[in-house]
Amino acid sequence: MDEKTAALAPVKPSGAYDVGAVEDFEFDVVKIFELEIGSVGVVRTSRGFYAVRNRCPHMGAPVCRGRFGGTNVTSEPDDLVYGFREDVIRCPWHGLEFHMSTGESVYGMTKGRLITYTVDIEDGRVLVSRRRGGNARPSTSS
Amino acid sequence: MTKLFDCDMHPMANGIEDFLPYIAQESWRERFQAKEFTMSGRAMDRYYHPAGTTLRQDAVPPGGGLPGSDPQFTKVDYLDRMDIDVAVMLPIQGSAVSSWTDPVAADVFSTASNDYFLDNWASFDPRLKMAITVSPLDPEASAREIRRHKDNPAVIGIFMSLVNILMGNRYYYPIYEAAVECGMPILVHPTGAEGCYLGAPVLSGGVPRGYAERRTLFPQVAWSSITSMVFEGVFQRYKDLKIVLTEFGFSWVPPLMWRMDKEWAAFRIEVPWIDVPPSEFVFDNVFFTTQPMDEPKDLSKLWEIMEMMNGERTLLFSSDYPHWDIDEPDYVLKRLPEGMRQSVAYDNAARVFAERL
Repeated sequence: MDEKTAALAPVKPSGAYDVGAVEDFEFDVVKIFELEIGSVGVVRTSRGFYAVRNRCPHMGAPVCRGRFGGTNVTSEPDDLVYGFREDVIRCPWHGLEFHMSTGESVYGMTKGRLITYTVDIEDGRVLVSRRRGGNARPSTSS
Repeated sequence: MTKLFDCDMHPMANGIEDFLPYIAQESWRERFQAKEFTMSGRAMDRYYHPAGTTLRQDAVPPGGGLPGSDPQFTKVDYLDRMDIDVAVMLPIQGSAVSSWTDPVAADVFSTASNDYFLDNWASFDPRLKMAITVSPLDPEASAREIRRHKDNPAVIGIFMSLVNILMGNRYYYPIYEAAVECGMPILVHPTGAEGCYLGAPVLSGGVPRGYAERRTLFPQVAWSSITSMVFEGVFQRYKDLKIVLTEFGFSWVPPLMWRMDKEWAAFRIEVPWIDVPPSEFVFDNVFFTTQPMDEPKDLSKLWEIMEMMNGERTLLFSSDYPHWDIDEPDYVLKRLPEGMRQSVAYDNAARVFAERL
């Protein structure tokens, strides 16, 4: 989850970083890479890969070292309903939650958001783009 | 002329004898008479009151009896002199039951107290309105008592004393359900039992040594109550429930709300039914009274707090007559920002109790 490597330089003309083979990524385990653009967390989910900058907008914590998974969605009192599976990173400091897919704060509870990066798969390699932007947020029923 | 709506006034009975005609069963009349009965929740054995009593000795009626026990004298000394337009009567003696252990006895006593004050006070002057006392020992019986008064226009609220169960707990829900059904706000007030009896609300950290310490710490009960109600989702279950916290002060409200909002951000996963900042529930469902007014040297600091807590909507005037620590209306009005004066003095309470007025 907190694997680190030496700062990687881009390998592609597009500026993308090769962070490993697809099969090197366990599902739902966030791996952290020190890239020239900064520390980035990458996770493989059943819906694809997500990458976010490893920095919480609240106090700058290494957010990607927090717990990844889902969270309890809005419910009636005393009813706990789990949702947003494979999409929520919970910051190890203060517990703020963000969608890995979009970088948005869960339910917009904090002003800030995580910086996201596009992930492409080419020839079985996982490429993290310098370009910012992520995938659509999974539904709560996922 | 500023109209006044006093949300905390205490009519008093002179003893259990006053209530006996309102107790139907002979067995209970005998029992209350036989006991060395004290109509006070205060642990006088534990705490010495520096003034000897919590009641104003200058408010003793000319014919004798406890201060606040004579409607005619109260009319002169309180309603007329202070120029009160509406007064909410909280029969504080009924709250003694929060230190009791027998739910049936508590219900009989509370019911008799309600009937006594309705008969002898509410009918005496139309300015006097009742908050009926309900026992915290048997919420189902209390709900029945609330519904019994549903159609009585003199009853505009419910005075609920607490046991050592936080207000968000489902234990109290029968009372909340009846309160909403009848359109009655619930008023909570220190009973004197806090920190004195097993079963009564505790004060945190330990047992205070004296009255000064204990009284300073009373707001702890309000902090705990609000926090519990908000996070347990009481105001989502009972959207129209209104809680008036009397005599707990108010200058602590803004930091409590900040703290709740911050903890919610961290622990939303535990209380996912809270889908807006907790402070919003406080603004919508909880109200605070002015007495005892904090007295910072720089009054503008207090005004800042009033603004931070939306005092123009959440703060209600209260005097606490005939207790020793009364706040006179003029004293309070002078210490309110001009733009907030009429709201706090009357309009906010008129809105809170609107369904019953």
